[in-house]
Amino acid sequence: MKILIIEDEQALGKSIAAYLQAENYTCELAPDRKTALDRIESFDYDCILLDISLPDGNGLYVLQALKENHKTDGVIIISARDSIDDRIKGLQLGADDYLTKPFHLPELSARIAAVIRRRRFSGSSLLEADELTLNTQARTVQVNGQPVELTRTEYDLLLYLLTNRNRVVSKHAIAEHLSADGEGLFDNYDFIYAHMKNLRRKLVSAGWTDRIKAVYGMGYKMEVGA
Amino acid sequence: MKLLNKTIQYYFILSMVLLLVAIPVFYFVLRKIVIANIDADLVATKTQLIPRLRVMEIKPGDPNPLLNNDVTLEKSQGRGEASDSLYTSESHRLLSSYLVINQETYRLQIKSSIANHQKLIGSIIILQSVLLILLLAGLLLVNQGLARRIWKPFYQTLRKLRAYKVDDAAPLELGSSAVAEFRELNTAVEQLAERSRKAYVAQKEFAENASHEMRTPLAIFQGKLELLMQTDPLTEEQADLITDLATASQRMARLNRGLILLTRIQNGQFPETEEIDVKRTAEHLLDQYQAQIEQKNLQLEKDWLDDISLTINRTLLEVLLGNLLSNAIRHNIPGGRIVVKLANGAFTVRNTGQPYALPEDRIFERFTKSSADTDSMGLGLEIVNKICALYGFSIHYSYENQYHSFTVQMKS
Repeated sequence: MKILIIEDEQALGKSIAAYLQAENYTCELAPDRKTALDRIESFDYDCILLDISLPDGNGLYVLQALKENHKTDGVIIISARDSIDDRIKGLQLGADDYLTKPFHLPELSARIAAVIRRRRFSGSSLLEADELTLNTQARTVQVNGQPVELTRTEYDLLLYLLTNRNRVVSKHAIAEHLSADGEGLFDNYDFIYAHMKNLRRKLVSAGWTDRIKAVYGMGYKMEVGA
Repeated sequence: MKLLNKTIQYYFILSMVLLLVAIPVFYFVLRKIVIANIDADLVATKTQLIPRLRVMEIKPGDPNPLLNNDVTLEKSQGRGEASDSLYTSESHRLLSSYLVINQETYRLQIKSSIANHQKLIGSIIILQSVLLILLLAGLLLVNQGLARRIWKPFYQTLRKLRAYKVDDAAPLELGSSAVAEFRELNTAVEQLAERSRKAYVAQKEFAENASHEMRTPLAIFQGKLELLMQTDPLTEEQADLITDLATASQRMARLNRGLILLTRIQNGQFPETEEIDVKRTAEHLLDQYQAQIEQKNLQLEKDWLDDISLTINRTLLEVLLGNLLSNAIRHNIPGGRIVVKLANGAFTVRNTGQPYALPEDRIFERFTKSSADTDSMGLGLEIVNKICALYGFSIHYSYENQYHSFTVQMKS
């Protein structure tokens, strides 16, 4: 799958590319609007990451260009500005999601996956990993075809780990993803442990081989085959 | 003391001194004049009497028509004095003169009562005093009225200055005055206000720009850290270092969000309002914090005696309640208690925590940490305070019976 990263900060663009490549995405970098416009004219992308403050003008113009060319690439805006006006403007122009800097790379990865799922499978999708099957529309989980009852938080946690499979996801990223307001008012990460324990217990008792690994005190990693 | 009263006080002291000095002086001068007058009268009477007495035959025992109570003539032993003498005796003025009639020396005494004149003096003094007092009182009144009118522009300026806030969008306008001094004062004050307003706006813009500019490097930092986590092999030592870095970066990000939220509130960037129930919002937030509450083994008590419906910005209400509730959880002791209450238009959060009161005058200030906890970012309560100020809520902190209590009066 192809991703275009329109970001003038090289260091950030490279980090994103490096993280996403581990998930078999092909990433291309466009450091300014001109390059970006050339690229989207010639190629189709599954998802475009768009920084709206570019050296040669507002990135929202790229959204307009996509619309005019009747392109259906998914777009996630990544911006340092996060006022409601900015968001609404971006979403009205056809962006699929809006992510404010600084963000966690696993969070970006999860959002990209969600956008691609929505675009590709028109909303209905089964996510499979070994014995696990997730229906992302019905939000249900099956192990070897047997349904497993998970709470909302446990489901979110599982989906988050699955979309970031084979990579370490820090407890900070998990906490921010799970806190409903996205604010993460607490520096207490112990609650993740409780959810994680319950999730693993439920999956294992349904016949799943535990592939979630705690990486020291840093985070968790789910090791599954592609 | 008011300037007006100060001037009046001086006027008053001056008037009193004037009255106290003027009345005795006036009295003595008047008395002197009256006595001189009486004396002149006495001398005139004497001059008139003597030639008539000389030609009259004086028979002792016979009443003399020229003599009466006030005029007495008696034989004098010895020669007597050559000149007349004038003196005051009791309430009379006496003139005694020696004269020789038929080779005999007589002493003539003429007296005139001062008492009558004294009364007159008294009346004049009283009249004068009343006049003087009236005059001074009138002067004071006129002065006060005048001063009040003259100082009016000054008090107007003062009133406007008091109402002026440096974060007002409009510049301070004091208007013009006919008095040159006040005009100058107004101009100077207006310039000062404008300078501080500009400085404030610049500072605010700086805070906002700095916060936004910080986001990209923060994103780079966080991204690189997350890539560092993926490196293999990774020792425990390295993982610990990375975790600490990630925690610090998380705090920076949160601080950054708080600062931007603050500047947004100050810029009035939350204009949309809707009708929201406080109780429902609080319940929703408490649900979100359930994990944290359980983690600390806290006992939660909800006292919904009343529900309040507010026309408010949803985000701001959530931030307001969220900050208060999360503080109550964060600063609590393991196994402690939280009491959330809605009554009489007020939202109250009470919680156990540190066994001493927080500094009431400083807790709503930026970066005042209330504990050694690293997770208090020092912005939460200032944000709460700013939101309260925006909607005219009053917020109050107290510490009683081991409970820290924050009360937000949302409706009176």
